[in-house]
Amino acid sequence: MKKRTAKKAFQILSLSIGVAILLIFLLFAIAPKAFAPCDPKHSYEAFLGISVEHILGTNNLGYDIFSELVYATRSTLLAGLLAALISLVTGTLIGLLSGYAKGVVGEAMNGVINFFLLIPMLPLAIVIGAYLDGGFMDIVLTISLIGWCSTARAVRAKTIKLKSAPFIKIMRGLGYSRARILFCHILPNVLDVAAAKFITTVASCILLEATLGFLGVGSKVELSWGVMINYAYRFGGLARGAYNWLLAPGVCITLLELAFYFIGSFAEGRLSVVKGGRSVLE
Amino acid sequence: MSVKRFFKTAIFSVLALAAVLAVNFFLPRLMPGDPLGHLIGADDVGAISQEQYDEYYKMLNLDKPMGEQFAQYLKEIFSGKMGYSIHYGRDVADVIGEKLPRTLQVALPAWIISALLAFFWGTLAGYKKHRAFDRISTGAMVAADTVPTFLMAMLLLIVFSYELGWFPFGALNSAADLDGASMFADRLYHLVLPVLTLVIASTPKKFILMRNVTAKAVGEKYIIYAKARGLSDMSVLCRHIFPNVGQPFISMLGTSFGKILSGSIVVEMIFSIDGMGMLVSRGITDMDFPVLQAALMTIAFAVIISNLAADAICILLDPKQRLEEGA
Repeated sequence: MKKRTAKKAFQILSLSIGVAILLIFLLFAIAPKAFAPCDPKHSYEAFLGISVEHILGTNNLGYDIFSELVYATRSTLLAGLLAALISLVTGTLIGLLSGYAKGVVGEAMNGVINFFLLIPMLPLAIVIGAYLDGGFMDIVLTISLIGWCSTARAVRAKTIKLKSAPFIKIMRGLGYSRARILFCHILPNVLDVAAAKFITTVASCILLEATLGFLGVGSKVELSWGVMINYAYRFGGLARGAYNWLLAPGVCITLLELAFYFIGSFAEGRLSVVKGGRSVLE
Repeated sequence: MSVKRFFKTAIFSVLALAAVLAVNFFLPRLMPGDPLGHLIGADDVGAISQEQYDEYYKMLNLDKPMGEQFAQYLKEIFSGKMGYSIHYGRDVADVIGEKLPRTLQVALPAWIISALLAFFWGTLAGYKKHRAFDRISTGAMVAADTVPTFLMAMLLLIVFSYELGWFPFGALNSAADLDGASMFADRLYHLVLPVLTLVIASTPKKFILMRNVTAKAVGEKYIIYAKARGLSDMSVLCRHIFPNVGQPFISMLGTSFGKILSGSIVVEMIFSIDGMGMLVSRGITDMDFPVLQAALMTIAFAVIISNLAADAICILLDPKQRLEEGA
């Protein structure tokens, strides 16, 4: 009994930490002006250390790093959320159809899902992103082209399970149309799986966006955390020992990943309570 | 059953290889922009003269119909050519042949070490589920998993090279001319940090899988019976758990090879190792598309083949499936 309350307390603690981190970053993204102490495009002295006026110091152009971080939150979060949203819709749709389709069509769609799961994401994203060479949406689309497959796999598995459930069999016997069964009766039942996957997809999309930004793929105009690290790395942050410049965006990404992990594992735990199964870390 | 399963994987692998080839062919030709620019990798096609443009246009068969181009392309691939890179002045296959061994020097040790670490540590944590050992190691693994690879690489470089001065700043060898044993020792010394980064980046996912698989196996009846017979933890682990968690482990090894290869792109960039990763990151800045495509193709091929091999090994190792084959 005692163990159980301790576990519950830990769960709630980790969830609230996750939500708190996410909330702070969301506020940064919505109203950067209110949180950034300086104008991100105002040049102060270059390579200042950590001080009261400049919480994280300044970079090679004399920009305040903390203000830059706050302003870059929006594009980082937006890219991750948009890409994950597109992945959610395509993944759910493909998962549903591939799970419900019989024979060759279902197998072929499963093959496509497995193909995308197998091919390493980063090189594929690099090649496609390099060709597109440009705007914010290009990067979002590149990331979502790769992000949909794990959602699709989870939704497909659930759909196959549901297909043999009695209520679906009865509906088929009653002569309901395939589209109606699929979208009115199976879809609502796979949404929980899709929603849990959505949280982990946001995290992996943000990570992929940051890695691409760091490697120099994609938009350089829109400042994101990955692009910030790229600049810090290329313009001698390492050699100059400007660790505040180099590490701050990476730490932000880690915090965000951690927040999504906490929220995601809580959601998965809730899900497994309903299903009677176990969460990843139980 | 097992033959059928292997057959299915083999067909999938062949189709996947074909798909990679097709993507590789169609991507530069269908992407927005001048396909010639995509194929020769020049950032700006306007920078070359009209004669050069025409010459390249002809050389790349862009004047011929799509079907003929595809046939030509396949012929080139099967004769070991992967496209011409203007930046390197030779065929990309040559360049990759030169860089790949350097990447493998980082990737293979990292692959083996992370596999062994995840296997033993993960099964042990799963066996002692919910004890302090399990909680601490799982927490550490989850924390390590949230740190992006580039941040981990930078942290290790800053702490161990810049601040403590224990390890070199990068590259694979010191400039000094060394021979034999001392060169080997020097190489190992240079490999420590990059390999460590890759190990930290790739172990957590494997660890968690092994832990969960083992924890599930511990609840099975044969384990309870083995414990009831009074067998020691050691022999329960070695005789009864390891054989039963081997299969998911091996199939995961197949797919994780590709993750390590793509993770090494970032690691090589930070540790200035002149391998595939450096090739890719330089290819991004130079807009050297043939190089990027060839790198993708190489990594994709490696993953597909290692996945197939892992599947074959799984079947060979499992007596249930192997013997069924003979029956």
